[in-house]
Amino acid sequence: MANFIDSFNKGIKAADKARANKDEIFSVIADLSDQLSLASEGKLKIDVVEKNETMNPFSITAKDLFGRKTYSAIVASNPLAASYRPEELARWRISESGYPCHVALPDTEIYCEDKVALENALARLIATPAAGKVLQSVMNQQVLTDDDF
Amino acid sequence: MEDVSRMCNEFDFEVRSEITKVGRSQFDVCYAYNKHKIAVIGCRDVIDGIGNSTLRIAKRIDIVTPLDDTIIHLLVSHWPSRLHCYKDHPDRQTYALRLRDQFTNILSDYGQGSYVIMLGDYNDEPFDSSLSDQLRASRDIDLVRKSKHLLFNPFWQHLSKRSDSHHGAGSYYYKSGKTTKWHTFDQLIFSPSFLNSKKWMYRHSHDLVHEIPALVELVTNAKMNFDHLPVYGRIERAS
Repeated sequence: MANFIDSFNKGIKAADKARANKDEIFSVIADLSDQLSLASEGKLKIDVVEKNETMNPFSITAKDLFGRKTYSAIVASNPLAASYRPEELARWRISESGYPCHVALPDTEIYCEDKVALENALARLIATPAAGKVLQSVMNQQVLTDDDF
Repeated sequence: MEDVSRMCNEFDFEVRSEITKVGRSQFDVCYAYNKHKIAVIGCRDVIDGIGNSTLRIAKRIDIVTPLDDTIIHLLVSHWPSRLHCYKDHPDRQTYALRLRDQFTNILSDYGQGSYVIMLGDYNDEPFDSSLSDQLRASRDIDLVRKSKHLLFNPFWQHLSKRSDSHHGAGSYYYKSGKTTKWHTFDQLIFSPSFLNSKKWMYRHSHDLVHEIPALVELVTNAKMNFDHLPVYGRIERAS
């Protein structure tokens, strides 16, 4: 008889490892967010969100709408802004087991095999001129004033 | 570089340097292309981070054929020499796995029928597990046609000297080789779309290594630094 118990235990162990990896990955992103929030006096927050692929409005079909593709992205938003308008910093992929995760910078795609590699990739991302421009524009989004309440 | 550019420009070829710094090393890719036949629409490095070290997986160059707006994705690699990363080093598997991931991501972004060509000096043979098992680059063209998961590697046919009229037995000559001096490290690998599509097709050839006698002489000469023969692959519009 096949030994299903061994396979079961392997699956449980792999699931635990994947959960631990993903917790670690999102804790790195949370650290980045916290540090940027501190440096920007609360005007920056970093998240991972699902986005829709943009479509050409002149050639759009019903099939396109139903089969519209989505992707994950690292975005910056301004919690103090009058409206939630997140701006994309980079496309992002995470594997089923957590690592490797994948960050797509304008000129480089980086596969990160561990926490240190992910920290390096994110540091590199926010140091690019393109990311700097995005972060500046997010910080400059119109903020809520007392009159808005 | 300027001299090469000047010579290529005479034949309407543009030359571009894509030498970019990565960690303590660099991508060492330059290319020439006919600007009337293709346009380069993007170029980026694909790297893998393990702790503080970086593996240079490939240089991704996206081109488009203005004639029919087909996008072709090129993944150009120069994996480390076996002197620096020995034959069974785990990193060699990582190189291939991430190249495979890059292929999968392209299919996910651009569709299952995307045209992808991988090429370069892998410092691995077609039969090494990095290329045959991890990347899944197969010799079996009929199987690749039926499968969504395999890639076609026509360089399996260049593992030996096939007749006395051939001058070499691979693309790379290592003069200190114990059981063979010839290796087939330089390869082009094609996505199945080039075998199944009605638009762009892989064109078969039995001589993908340029065994020009003068070049073979240079490569086999122990006093010279040249040790690779040029390789090529050809695709053509199906209609």
